[in-house]
Amino acid sequence: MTSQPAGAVARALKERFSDLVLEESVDGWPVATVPRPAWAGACRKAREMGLNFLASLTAVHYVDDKEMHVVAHLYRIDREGRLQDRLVLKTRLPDAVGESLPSVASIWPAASWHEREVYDMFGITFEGHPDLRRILMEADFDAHPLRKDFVDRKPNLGVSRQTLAKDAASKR
Amino acid sequence: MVPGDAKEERGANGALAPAMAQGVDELEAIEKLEDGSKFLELSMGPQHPSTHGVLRLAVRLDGEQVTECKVDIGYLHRSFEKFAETWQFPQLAPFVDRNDYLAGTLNEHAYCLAVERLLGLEVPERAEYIRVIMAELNRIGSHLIWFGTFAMDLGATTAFLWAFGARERLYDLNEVVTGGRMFPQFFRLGGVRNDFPPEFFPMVEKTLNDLEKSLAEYHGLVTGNPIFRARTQGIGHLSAEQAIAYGCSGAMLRGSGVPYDVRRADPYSIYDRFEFDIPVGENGDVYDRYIVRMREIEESIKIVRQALDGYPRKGPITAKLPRRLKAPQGAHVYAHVESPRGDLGVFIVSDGTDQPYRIKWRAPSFSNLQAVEFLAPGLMVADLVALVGSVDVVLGEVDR
Repeated sequence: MTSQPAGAVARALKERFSDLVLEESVDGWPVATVPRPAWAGACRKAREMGLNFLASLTAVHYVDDKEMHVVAHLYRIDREGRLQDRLVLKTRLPDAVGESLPSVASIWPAASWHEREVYDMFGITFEGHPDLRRILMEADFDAHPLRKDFVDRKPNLGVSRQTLAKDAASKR
Repeated sequence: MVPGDAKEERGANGALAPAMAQGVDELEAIEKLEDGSKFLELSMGPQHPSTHGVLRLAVRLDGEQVTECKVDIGYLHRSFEKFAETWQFPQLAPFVDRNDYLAGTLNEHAYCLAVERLLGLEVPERAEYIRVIMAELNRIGSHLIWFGTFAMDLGATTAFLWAFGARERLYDLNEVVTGGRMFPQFFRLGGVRNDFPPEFFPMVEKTLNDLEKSLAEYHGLVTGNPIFRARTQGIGHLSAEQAIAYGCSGAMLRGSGVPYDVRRADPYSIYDRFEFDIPVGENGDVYDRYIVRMREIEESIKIVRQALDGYPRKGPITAKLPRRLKAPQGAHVYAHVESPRGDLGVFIVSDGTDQPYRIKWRAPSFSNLQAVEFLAPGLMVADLVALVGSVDVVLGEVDR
């Protein structure tokens, strides 16, 4: 494999996707933000360009901006164990439970559990995911805890859910 | 890990791990298929010694062969990421110890690195040396625990007791320097809490010398053992491409022949100053992961010795911190270190206050464990135990 300078994939993606916004994070990672319809295509292109290692895929809930960002951290690791390239790939979704995004688990199998975790914690669903279930919370849990508008509840001590919800609403 | 149920007789191949017999009682269902064959659905865990804490494997068996394996996690979920959003940056440093509870120092290193990059803090050289020495000692301790529990998974109780004896010495070192044993709570943003006390230096020298002798004994006891080899060689084969695709790192990836080590691939702290090798395996099986970790102990000993030689006796051990920490608005950082289990990453998003807006803990065990679902089909039940053992999973960081 030929060695590429870090950030090469980011620049190539910029050429391929005209509406991609390229920035740099405070610690020097290239950050590419793509519009939502281009998510799957950008991921596939990034994989083709050699970003073969999905380190993390997560979401951030910006409650004031009414937005959710899905953020993936990608590396390219070659057979000699060198970290050849890196990229933060982002997209924006409107703020609502049940918003969906195409799954990238077929591109990086590693994404499977990460997407389940994002679904569990933020309520974003992934189309085409092989097995989209909650992963950390119990199966019958009815909220998405890492959303900023999540209302913490005391364990059920005989008080009905409605009472607690009313209680929480009055405090807000 | 209670060695109470090790009474059962085992076959020539160590066919059924002793504790597995309990699992059979927890039989969930025998399903009859159209062709008359029977499948057994077995729930291994969550309270099962060979599942290392609280991991549940929902296994479907054909005879003694695994046809499907679903990993069920979340039993140790403590909402770390949610909790972290309500605390200030310096307050959180001791708490991250609890994620990977066998390698507290490494967790603190990753967290402090991320926050320091976010705030633009410079760590003094002396503090970097102290950090590296403590991190490598912690890595040795973690690998020793893994060695002991892994050998016990395969039925070797002696190795378990020996490894825990040796680990105790490393925890004594932790105690002398930090006051804590499992949870050192030692790293501070921009440095470390205190200097080494004078009694530390002779103690660490003796511990490392003794450890080198013990390692030779471990190899004599376990590595050359034909039963051990039969149970580990050729089991759970993971190719380099698969390991990368499944996001595996640490000994899982190096066992498959890719010498990816964050200390070398993306050097942080002062790791670029030390000479050390990155052991790799050839076949990517359970045995290779074992050999890689055992050799990593030797490499860590090398790093500690070099760091002790170069350790500057004078100088500050913490950076000057502003009275009130304020991260840049909207900034985010991702820092990663090589933890005993692999590539440990911390992603922090800031909203311009002294609290993190969002923290994502990229736990290496989380990704490594994913590969079990893919590797398990076709294995015998006893080999599944060896496979899960070889992943070196710490549920504290998987579930967070």
